[in-house]
Amino acid sequence: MRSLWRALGGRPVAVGAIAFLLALAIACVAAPLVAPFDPRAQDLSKVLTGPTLDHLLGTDTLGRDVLSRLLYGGRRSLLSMVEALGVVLALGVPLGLAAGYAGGWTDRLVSRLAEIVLSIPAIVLVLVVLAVVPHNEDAAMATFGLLGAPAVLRVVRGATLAVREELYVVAARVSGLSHPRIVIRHVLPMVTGPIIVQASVFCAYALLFETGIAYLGLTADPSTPTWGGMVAEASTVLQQQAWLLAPSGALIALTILACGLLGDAVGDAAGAYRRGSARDRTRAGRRSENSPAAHDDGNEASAALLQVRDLSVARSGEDADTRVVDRVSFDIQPGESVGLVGESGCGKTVTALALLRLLPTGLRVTDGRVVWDGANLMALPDDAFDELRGSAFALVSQEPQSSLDPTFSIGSQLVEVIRRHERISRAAARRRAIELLGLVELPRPDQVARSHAFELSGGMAQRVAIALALAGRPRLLIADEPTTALDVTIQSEILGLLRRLRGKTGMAVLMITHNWGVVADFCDRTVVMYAGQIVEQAETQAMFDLPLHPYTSGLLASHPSLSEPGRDLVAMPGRVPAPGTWPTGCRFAPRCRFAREACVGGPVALGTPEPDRLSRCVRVEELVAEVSA
Amino acid sequence: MLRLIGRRLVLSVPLLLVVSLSTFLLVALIPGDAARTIVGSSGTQEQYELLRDALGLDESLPTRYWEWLEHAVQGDLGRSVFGQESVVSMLNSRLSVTLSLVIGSTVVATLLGVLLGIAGALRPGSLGRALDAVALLGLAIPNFFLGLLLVAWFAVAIPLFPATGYVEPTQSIPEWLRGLVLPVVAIAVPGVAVIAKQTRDAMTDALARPFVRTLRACGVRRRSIVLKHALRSAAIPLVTVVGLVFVGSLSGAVVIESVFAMPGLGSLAVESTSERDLPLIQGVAVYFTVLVVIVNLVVDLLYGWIDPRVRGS
Amino acid sequence: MQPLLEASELVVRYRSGRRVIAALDGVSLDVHAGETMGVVGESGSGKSTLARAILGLAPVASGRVRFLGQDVTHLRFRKRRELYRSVQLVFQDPYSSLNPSRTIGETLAEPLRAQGQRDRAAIRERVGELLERVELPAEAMERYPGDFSGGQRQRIAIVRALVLSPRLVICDEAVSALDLSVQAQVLNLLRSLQSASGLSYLFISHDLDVVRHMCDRVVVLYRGSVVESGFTAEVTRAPAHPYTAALLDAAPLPNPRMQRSRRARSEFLGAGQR
Repeated sequence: MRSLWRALGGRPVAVGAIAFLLALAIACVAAPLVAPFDPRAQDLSKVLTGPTLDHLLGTDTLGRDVLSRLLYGGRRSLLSMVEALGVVLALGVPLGLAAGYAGGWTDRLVSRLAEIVLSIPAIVLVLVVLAVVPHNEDAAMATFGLLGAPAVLRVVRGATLAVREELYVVAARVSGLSHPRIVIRHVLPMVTGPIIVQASVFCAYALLFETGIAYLGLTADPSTPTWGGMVAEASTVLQQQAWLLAPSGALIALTILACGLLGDAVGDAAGAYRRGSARDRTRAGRRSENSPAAHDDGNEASAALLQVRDLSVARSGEDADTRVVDRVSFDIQPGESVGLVGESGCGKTVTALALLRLLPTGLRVTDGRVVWDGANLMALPDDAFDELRGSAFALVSQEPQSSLDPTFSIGSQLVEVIRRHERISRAAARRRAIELLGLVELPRPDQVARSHAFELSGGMAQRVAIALALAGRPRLLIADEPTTALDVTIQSEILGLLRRLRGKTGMAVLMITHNWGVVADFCDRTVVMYAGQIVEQAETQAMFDLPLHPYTSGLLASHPSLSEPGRDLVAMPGRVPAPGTWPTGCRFAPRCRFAREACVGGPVALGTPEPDRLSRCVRVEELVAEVSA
Repeated sequence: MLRLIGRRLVLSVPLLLVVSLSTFLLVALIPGDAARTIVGSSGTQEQYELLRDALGLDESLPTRYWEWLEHAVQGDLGRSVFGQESVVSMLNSRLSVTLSLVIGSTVVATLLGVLLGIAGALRPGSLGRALDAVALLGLAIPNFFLGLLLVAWFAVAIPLFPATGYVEPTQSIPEWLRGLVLPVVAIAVPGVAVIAKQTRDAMTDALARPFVRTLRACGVRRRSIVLKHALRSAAIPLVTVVGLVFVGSLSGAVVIESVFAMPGLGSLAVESTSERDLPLIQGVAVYFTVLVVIVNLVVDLLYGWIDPRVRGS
Repeated sequence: MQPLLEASELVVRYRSGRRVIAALDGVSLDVHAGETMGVVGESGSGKSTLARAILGLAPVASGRVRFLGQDVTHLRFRKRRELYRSVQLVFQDPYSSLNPSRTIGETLAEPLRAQGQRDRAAIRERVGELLERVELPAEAMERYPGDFSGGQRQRIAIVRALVLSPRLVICDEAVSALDLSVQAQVLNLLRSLQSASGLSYLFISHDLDVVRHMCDRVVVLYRGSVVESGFTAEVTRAPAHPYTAALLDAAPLPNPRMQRSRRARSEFLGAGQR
């Protein structure tokens, strides 16, 4: 909560809104002391004057001072707002907490009731109340609060449900905390933000409502000052004195605006605080930030399908950019499977997204060349690059079900992608879609085509995602942790499928993973990344037989399958340095048991300790000697 | 699908009962002799007797309510206390006014709001902030104030549109439309703000979802992703908001009909409230509730059409 | 010797829409003092439900859970709070298991305060001591979870589980969300804590390699039922149940030659999953 106030303090708009509301409240409550005139005192000699020295906001049709009437009217409006808000919070918060936390029949009962009450058109019921007890604004606003409570109840319930699912609530129970204490300690702090937002928004609506019924003359006799009534009065003399409309209308609008701004500001502050760092967003509509200054096209005649040279990606920060991927270079030959391995934060997924020019906002390519078929991809304009996606290379991602649009059927998504790359009729595209689903070894492809993402299991959804990727007949498939979210039995099926597809179509695969078993099973060549750099590259068997970098050998040694019974695992100390905290010398040196002076002096380049092997280690030879000994 | 409709109808019955029952209970709250209190000292003996009869004050509350219900399901909502006419016929004659206003403003708010919201989602930054500011303003200005300003500018100062009144579409469609412009704008403005903001948020959310990246990686064009895929995902929360805007427009109509002196259900509600014509105001309550039920039903159906998860399999 | 924990024929049912699903369908296992008992299963096997059922966080339809001989299946609040002094839990997700808006010190003090400990100094001392035991600085108490990495948070979660000096700690996929190198560190930590204090673990995981390394005995769950149980070495060397065999076969080993020969064998035997 403290941080919430601090966050608000940093927003001038919120501070302004709070200040305005406070000042208004104080002025209105102190009206008997502050108002220059009696609000009902008429002076028929000074009717409908504009602003004068005596009457700062002018006078109305009976010569009464507008400013004084506004102040006294404000008391009524603010009181009504508070009344309605009180009812809303007294009903909405406890019921919302109960429904969200207890669940079960409490939730069902409360939710049903709330749904019914929410559907009641508030204004008519309030009108009935006013017909029964005329001019009773308190009754009217209390009714409005009653009818508005379900909206707040819903929000409170939602926020409570979200917190209830968090593991730290379960942990609190296992600590021995009672339910009431959990609600107070863990749930309420998280729910307070949304409550304040809803309260501000509700105040705005309550004021709109109150002034509306006052305008209609349903709440007070004409001599009693009300903001709405003053607007009504002003409307009758629009042609003679248009000014009269301004003070009351403007004040109403400003007060409502202040409530709304406050609600927005609190919402922003609470949301940002909860989410922590900014969310990554892929903006489909934005111009690509992926092409740096164009380099000369790679005119190197090479058999490689894809050549990556010195690719660097940075995250835009407040002061300076932080590099996340640092001059990464590798080749992929046609039909080859290359594994890009590393732990979290090493930059492997970012590298893959950079190749596809699908970096989320906040990340951009700062350097490097990616050569495909002789052309530098980074220099291509957006629409030309668009043509390549799906037809030259394609992507399969980690979470299969969220990779598919839940609102369209599988078949229609496939047809759309197929027709994007081939000019064929709908019917022909549908036939090809079924073919593709069969290609990924789905039983009953026609049934799958008719179904939707949520009806499929994880394994089936991933097969569909692969079918989508294959629709454009790509020559390179980039698979970003495609099996991480799947059960191990399904994983082996998917890997088998990918292997067979490679055989049938001859496409290359860039397999991004943190799982060495997958690498051993699937990849011809392996590239190891650490702290944004490539630290080792070799043919897979050779790398497993003899890793030529302390990080690779350390990782492989710490794999639980290599443990000796009853002995600890061989664990490397320390952790991966985060981008922005990379040491100037060898980035692995702080954790490396072979580190020497030479390692920390300056940046270490990739060397070729043996033919067809790359390693970013200055002590490779000594390492090899030690192992062979 | 049928399950959806069935569920909505099942929920609607208690709603109608709750609304009608509450109005009865409220009347029962009037201290003393309700009929006397309403008619007051200025009313005639005849009016008093009719009101007593109409309110059924001689019978117990459950009997009164049951009789009212019996009549109601047959389409008879009683008689107006002061006009003697059948409530149902009075309401029906005014229905087209309110429907024109409410449907018109909802349609306008939805079209404008969705366009602005999509624009705001595609170009965050300056346009997004401008949208936020305009939305806030749109919600802050009370609709009656806005209506008065519109009258002052576009009916009085520049006589483009009529300041008051309503022309039936059967008489003259251009005049009907002309008379609707200002009031519809007055009601629609807050709706535009809400829908624009909701659309923008929903679109931004949808564009951030993983499936967008998948489709782009497959080569699907940006335009298709935004207008076909993201919009459809965004439509799900949007439909609920449009339903809420419709109900809000009903509220707005009550006030705006008075501002523009239009003979609709809203202005009737206001008149009958000040005159304490209880059967009439009860009738308006029932009509409004039925409209809300219909809107909720349509929202549910749209929901089911857009989101296959709701339909089940 | 009486087992520390004994679960007999546990049945837990959930309603999903109109259907009733048995998340646990008659699961029995036991854990002896000082041992690490493994529970292996994939998604839908019921392994997480098992942890919750033992702790009384899931509704047990039938069956019994006994701790040190006493029936603890359905306990009232006070008795359950007492049980939590002896049985604790470490979760999978290091990001969701610590309240982001409370300091580490507050989070770690919570179990002690919930059990009635009021002496602030004593609490600080205990927490500081445990933090050092897991190689985190005592100043961490003043910081928030957001300042720590996944591996560090998991150590903090382990401290929280240990602060009441329990006899049994249930590790529910405690290392599954961690990188390989961090996983090795945390597994070693768990073992050293065990050998120092005679702790017992119920170690739930989908990762056979980890289970093989950590657990003396193991139980294999499939769709809510135990399909195989026994000493880890034997079960992994010679699985009796086809599901266990399939699991063992499917998990890829970090050894390209072995993987190739396995694949060749399965293709030759026509045991492809088509």
